[in-house]
Amino acid sequence: MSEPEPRDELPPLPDDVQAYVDAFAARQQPPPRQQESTWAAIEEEIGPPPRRVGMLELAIVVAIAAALVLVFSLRGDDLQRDVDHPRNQASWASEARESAGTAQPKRATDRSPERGPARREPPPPAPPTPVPQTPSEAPTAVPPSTPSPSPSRPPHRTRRPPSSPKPSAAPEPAEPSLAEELALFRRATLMVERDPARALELLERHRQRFPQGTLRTEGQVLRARALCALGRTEEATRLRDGFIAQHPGSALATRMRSVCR
Amino acid sequence: MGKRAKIEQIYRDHYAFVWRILRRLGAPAVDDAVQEVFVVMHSRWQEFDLSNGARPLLYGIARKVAAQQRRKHERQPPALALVRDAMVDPEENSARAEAARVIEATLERMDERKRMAFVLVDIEGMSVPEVARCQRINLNTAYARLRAARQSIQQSVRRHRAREESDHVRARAPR
Repeated sequence: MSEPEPRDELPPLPDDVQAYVDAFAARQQPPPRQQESTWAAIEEEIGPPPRRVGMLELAIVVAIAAALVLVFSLRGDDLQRDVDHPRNQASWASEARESAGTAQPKRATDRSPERGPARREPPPPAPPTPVPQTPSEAPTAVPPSTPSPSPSRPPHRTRRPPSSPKPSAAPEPAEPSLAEELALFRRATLMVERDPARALELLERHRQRFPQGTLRTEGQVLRARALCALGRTEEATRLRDGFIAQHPGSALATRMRSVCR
Repeated sequence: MGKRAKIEQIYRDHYAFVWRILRRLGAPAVDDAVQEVFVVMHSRWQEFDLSNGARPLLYGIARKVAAQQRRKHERQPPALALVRDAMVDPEENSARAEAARVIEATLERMDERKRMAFVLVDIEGMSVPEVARCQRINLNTAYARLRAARQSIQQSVRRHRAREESDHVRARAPR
């Protein structure tokens, strides 16, 4: 025997009573902004979303790791060149001594007792005379006290002058800017519920500073949430619908769908 | 879809339902109670059966959470709740506000089991069999509770209308 549906068993409420019930039901809605802040509180208890944040952080870690590998590989190259450098210096010194005579020995004496730190200093002043060559003279100028790097020396030495304008200049800013983007974005996320207007400011700053930033798509979702929290529902829904049309299969589209609903 | 994503989806779909139910169940701090419902759902996910939909399950959790909250806090007097509601939207049409207050006051006076039968069927649109499953009661009992609740509501509405009419007549009567 199937269970009867209530509408079959019970007559509908009379119209006048139904009007009262409708008036009551219309008032039974949670405050519009409460849903997101309650969810944020739930998230605090059950933990952050593993999927999206995990992927985001993975991307950040990979980017940082790549930047570090790049920096260190270039530094390594640089160090090898630095190790070579005294020899160049020595050969230049010997050349200079042959041609001009005095003043040069001072450098040679500085270098010989404390090779490590002294070696770091020379690279910037060295390039001004970028035609050292004559590798054959090196062993004579500096005693064979320099350690292992010697086998790889000849090819590096020829390239040394052009590489002196520090190749690390390119990747190094990438690392702080990523961290900076993340920090700015986190602040905006925190502000969405507490102070959506402030969140919008931060998101705008984020958009201007990182137009091609890693978090720009996530930023759109956050922006829609902030707009909705501010009661700017038209803008929020426009942004939401545009985003969903543009990224229908995106994981963020799921979150975006709940904005202003 | 993982557990967390499912819970988030259920939250998005049924937040308003849970909020209203908790309010009707007399939870003193509704937002905290909503949070608690979903935290419980997360922590005991393995025990739950969603084959009948999320609402019966959410109702079951909400009922327990509200009962716990009520035990902890002193229950808010209904009159105060009504006053606060009236202040929420001062521009609301006064006739509708008055009608809403009649229902609210009647529900407040009603036994919780009848009240919830009415709320779940006539406000939340659930079927009586669903309500019977939610409340773990016999189907006939569910119908009986709903009938009784409706009867109270109808009586209150009729009384209110009669009073309004007599006020209206009195106001128009020559002095």
